[in-house]
Amino acid sequence: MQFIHSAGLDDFYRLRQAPTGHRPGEGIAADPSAFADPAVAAQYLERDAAGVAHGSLALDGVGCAACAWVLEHGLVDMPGLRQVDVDLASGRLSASWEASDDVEAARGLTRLLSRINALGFDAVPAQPAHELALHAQQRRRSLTAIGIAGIGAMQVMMLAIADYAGLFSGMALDHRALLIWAQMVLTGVVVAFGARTFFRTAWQTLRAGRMGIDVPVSLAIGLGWGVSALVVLSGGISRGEHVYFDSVAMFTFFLLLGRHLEQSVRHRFARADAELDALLPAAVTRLDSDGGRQSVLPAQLRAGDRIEVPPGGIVAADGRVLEGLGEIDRAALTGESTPLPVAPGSEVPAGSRNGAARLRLEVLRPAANSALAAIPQLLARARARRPRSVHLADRVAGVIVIAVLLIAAVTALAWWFIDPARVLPVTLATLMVTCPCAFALATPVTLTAATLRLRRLGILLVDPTALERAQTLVAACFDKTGTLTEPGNLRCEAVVAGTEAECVNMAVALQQDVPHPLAAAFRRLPVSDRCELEHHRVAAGAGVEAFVNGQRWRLGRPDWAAGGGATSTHSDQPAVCEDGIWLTEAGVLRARFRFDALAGAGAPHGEGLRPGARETINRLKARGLDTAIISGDSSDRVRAVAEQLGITRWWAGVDPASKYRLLQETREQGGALYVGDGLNDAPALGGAGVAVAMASACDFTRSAADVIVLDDRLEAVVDLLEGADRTRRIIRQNLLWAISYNLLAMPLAVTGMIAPWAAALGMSASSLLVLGNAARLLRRDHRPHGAIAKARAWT
Amino acid sequence: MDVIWLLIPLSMVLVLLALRAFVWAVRTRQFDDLDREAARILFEDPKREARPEDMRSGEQRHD
Repeated sequence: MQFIHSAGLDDFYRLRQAPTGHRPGEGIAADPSAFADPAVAAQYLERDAAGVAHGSLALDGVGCAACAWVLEHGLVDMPGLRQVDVDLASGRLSASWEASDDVEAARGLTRLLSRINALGFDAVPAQPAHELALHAQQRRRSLTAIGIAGIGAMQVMMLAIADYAGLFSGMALDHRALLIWAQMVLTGVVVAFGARTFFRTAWQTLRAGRMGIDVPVSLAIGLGWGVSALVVLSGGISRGEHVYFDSVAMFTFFLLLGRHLEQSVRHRFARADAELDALLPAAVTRLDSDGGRQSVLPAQLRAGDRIEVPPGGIVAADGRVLEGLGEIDRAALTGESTPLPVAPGSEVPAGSRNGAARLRLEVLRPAANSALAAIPQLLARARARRPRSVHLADRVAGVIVIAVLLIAAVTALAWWFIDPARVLPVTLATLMVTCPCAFALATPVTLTAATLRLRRLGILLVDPTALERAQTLVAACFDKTGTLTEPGNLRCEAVVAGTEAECVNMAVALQQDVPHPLAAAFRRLPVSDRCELEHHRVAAGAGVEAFVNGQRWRLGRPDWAAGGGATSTHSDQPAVCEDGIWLTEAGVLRARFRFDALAGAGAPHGEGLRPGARETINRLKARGLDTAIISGDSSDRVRAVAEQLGITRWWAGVDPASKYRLLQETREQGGALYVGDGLNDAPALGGAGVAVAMASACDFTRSAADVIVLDDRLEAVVDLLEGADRTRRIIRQNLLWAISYNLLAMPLAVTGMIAPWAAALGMSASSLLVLGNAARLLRRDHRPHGAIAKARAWT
Repeated sequence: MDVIWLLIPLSMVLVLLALRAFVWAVRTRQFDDLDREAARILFEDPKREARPEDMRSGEQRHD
């Protein structure tokens, strides 16, 4: 491999000095000069105080590790460039360069774009609309390829079967020639249009001096068609020699199908920016100093502006409460469902949802600098730094390709001296026998089968390479809220007067239409009858009240519900306290509601262990993994959960950036699995060895994950690891078989002892064996599950 | 069996035509959004009010 590497470096210098491959007009890449206007460029860039501009670009035509390598090394000497990282999974390039002002930043961006074009790739500054258009175009391209390969392969197969039937029942030579010529033309179409993507990637890989699985794939397809065409053109049909057009067409079709599946899952979860923008309100009410109100875009807010957030509204920018007593819900940010009480002076983060009160805030920093806006940037950088995982097949590919070509050359040379008349048939047979078809199929087909199998278990594999990374994992870390725990169930206890059903009915009626997570917990209670209420009103930070037949009913904090007086002014009083939530009629206690809390000291309110959490942790421990909790929550709550689950290592009060760092540190030992669901988990997912998101996570967080658990079943994590073990085992078996078959058959072919029909049979059998072995992953287990329908709905 | 000299080239021409049609369909974005188009029939045309006679004919078909 050493000489490939050195050849690669030479290639790289050649590449850098004489950029080729620019295909103007192809693709939808924008003209770099369109971004020369500082105002336009500024929309896509962020410039920090140190005079460094950061930009993120969506890439097209980057399909392998080698392309990423070419890009990074082709750009590295751009003047002023600080750093460039290519993230293959999302097709993104992130770069930073020195720029003291917007004009310079824009100039850097145009320079970057023209360089990328010169290297033969298309790029646009990442913005949702552009990126989606790029994805749609990629999807159309891959669909066209699949359609051509599929229709073509079916037709070729039909002709081939007629040909095989003729071998047994006899067929006129000219009829056979007709069938084979037809196959040749149709397979030619499949190869030229369907397999183009393999050739293109292989060429880019080779030009970078690297090897990838696409090189043997292209070699197999090219050789299969080329050798068969040579047989036809040299009059091999009349000598009864064999052709391989059917294998080539089917092979191309299978590979394209696998790639398309992988690509469509990836695209589905790559709409990160668009989704994050949707977390913020489209317009905000700004209060002007003269008392006027104005509706503005969140982006127009400046530090010091005063804004008003209506009940149930989303906070658009980090701010400090000026007026209003209420609660905010940070569920979208942290997965934490218990609301946080706020009062004048409290800080509220952008993206949190206001409770029932009307809040007036002073904006602390512009929306673009909020903690919320920092998360995607943090994630983008985390992902770009992630070490590229290289398939085992990619590493062996180079040796195989060189071996095949070398052996063919030596064979041809040897036969030139032995018997010049047999040079062509023997060399062709050798090429066919050593053709790495089975080898090229081994990994992708197995990964496709594994993806389908896991999907049946309710696990969506966004990045199949995660299965290979799973091998080295040393630890499994969990977010607490929403991952190990779920919102607890309310229980009605201590009914002082009346029946339980009456009290529940009343409580649910009181909480109807109240925009508060606690109210949502009440609405999950079973109702037997509807209650008619009058003067329904929400008392911020205290509870809800209404009148029934002239009697005042209250549901909320005990002191407020029991006392007849006005709304309490205690701002630090939590919404749910130790005494539970009281339901009172005219100040008299009727019933108490309480969450099914965790047993043990410091039990969190309104939070229960997710079913299967304990079993999952035990099974992970049995696999020899360290388990840990990394949570943004307070330490006594985290400790309570950790003690319940027997987890000895936990971190509490960790911010997103530190979560990322903690996971990054485990990387040298082999990486950690991370399971999370909050927006604040996104960077941590980017830093994890294998990143798992729960389906309940927001789209943005899911976009950061390698794996998504569709039905929020925590045991899926163990299923994933077990599936990964099996997949790796099968990949290894397949590669071993493919290589040993080629090694065994090779001496026979080289010595001219193998008959053409035997070579064809051997090659097909070898490929089929690989397919069949991979299909073992699809065998149905007896597992009662509703995940199948759900999984279908997702893809 | 001489007819296969005609039939096989003919089948190839048909396949190439089918491929051409498929490529056209993909290029003109027929396959871009399969979910939404499938559901489109369920949505009312926003520009036209439902008229009483439309509803009556619908009921009759149900009977």
